[in-house]
Amino acid sequence: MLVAALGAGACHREAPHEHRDAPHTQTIQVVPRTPLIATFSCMAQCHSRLAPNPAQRELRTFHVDKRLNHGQTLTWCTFCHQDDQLDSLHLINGTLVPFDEAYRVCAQCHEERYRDWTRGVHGSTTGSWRDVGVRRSCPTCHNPHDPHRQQFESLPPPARERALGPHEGGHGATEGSPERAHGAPESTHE
Amino acid sequence: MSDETNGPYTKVSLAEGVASSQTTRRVFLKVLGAATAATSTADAMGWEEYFQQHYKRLTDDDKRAIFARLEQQVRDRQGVDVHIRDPQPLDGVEFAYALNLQACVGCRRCEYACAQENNTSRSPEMHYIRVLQMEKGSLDVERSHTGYEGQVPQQGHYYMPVQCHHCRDAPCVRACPVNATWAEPDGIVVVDYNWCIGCRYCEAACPYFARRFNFEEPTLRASEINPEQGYLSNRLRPRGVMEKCTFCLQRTRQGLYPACLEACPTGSRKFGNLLDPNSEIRQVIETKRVYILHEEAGTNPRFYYFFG
Repeated sequence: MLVAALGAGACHREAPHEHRDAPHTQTIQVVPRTPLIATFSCMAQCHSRLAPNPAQRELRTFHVDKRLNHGQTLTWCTFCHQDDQLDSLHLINGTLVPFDEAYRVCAQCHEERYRDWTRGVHGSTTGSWRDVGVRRSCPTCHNPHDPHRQQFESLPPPARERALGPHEGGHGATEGSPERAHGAPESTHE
Repeated sequence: MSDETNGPYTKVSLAEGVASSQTTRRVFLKVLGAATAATSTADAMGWEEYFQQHYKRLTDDDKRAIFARLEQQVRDRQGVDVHIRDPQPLDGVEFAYALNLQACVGCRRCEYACAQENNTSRSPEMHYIRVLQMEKGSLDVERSHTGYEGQVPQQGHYYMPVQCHHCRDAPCVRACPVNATWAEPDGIVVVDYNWCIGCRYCEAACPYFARRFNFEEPTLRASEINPEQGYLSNRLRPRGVMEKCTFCLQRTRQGLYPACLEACPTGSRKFGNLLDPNSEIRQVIETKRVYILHEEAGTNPRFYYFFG
């Protein structure tokens, strides 16, 4: 009787949060990178006729924009590119890897980053958190020839924060801040 | 003079006075009230809107009528066809957000994507997200700045974007005197813009400074209006009400990521279902060092910062 009464009373309260696992429904698609070389195939354009020169040297005619500045061991094209099949990459053990799976080449050294990337912790996943998530391969964000971190142009701060200047308007400068007390008009406020 | 002697006498005389002029005064006040409501608010608001019930007491029919009215209002005022929907919380879903402090470069793309998605006022300019420029080696937000410009990341700084943390023990929800803000079953803290009285207690209660008040009529050009709108999220707001980040519920309850995440060029932002052990957000919390902003405030937020 008492249990029934308590039970009836409990109905009107919000049920406590249940910590049961929800099913994982998201699948991941990695953005393919072969379309980028489809318009300019290394083999079709040049290297089917012109065998690549494996000697390390300063490049003066072609690929001069590809300044190689990636670690101390990665000093020459053929470290990642397959010299007789330039539309592919290769692993250190010689396995051919298509450009779509470039991340496998990166993973040979950067295994922790790669592990994070497979879990979705590193790198950006867009699209849907529930259905199909779209993930980018490493070279989308990191130039493999010169992977050092880039600068971004920041978008302007919103009007109020711009008015406060670059060294003001921090977390402390909230609604009850001195700027406000000294008669800043409300209209400039967010 | 004591109440025993004076009280009854006063009462009687008052009662007589009221009795004599009761009808006319009451009628007069009624007419005045109705006329005031009709004239001063009819243009801006309208009778149905003025007497609209709390969101939780609305029936499906009420909602249909309200959405149609709101869509018509936007058509009349801005000449834009918008679609107002009310996506419901999903079963077995609790949303959470994580932000990688080592990856964020402070470019503010998220701020502007948010404004675009959520129809926030462009003049006065309102952003739900504030990117704090922090001093390297310190987590002291009191020494942070938001007014930086130019190339980022700047030497000696890292960046911490702050938005609504959708707290489990949300001080804003407790502060609201009229229950105009509450946490939905999927964890999203929402505002009923029609029930909000604009007292700003919630703004004062929030330790993240995540709530924004419409001091003026929000202004947006017709071309800037996002026509896909949620009733509890990015529909056009009137003057005098609070608003805030809603994890883009008009997107996320349909399976999409929030607009800020989509805009991030560095992949710093992670979002997903906390109840799914294989979701990105759970992987972040289980495998990374996680920092909770103002943990000492006891708000238990659904927004996490992480390193790496």
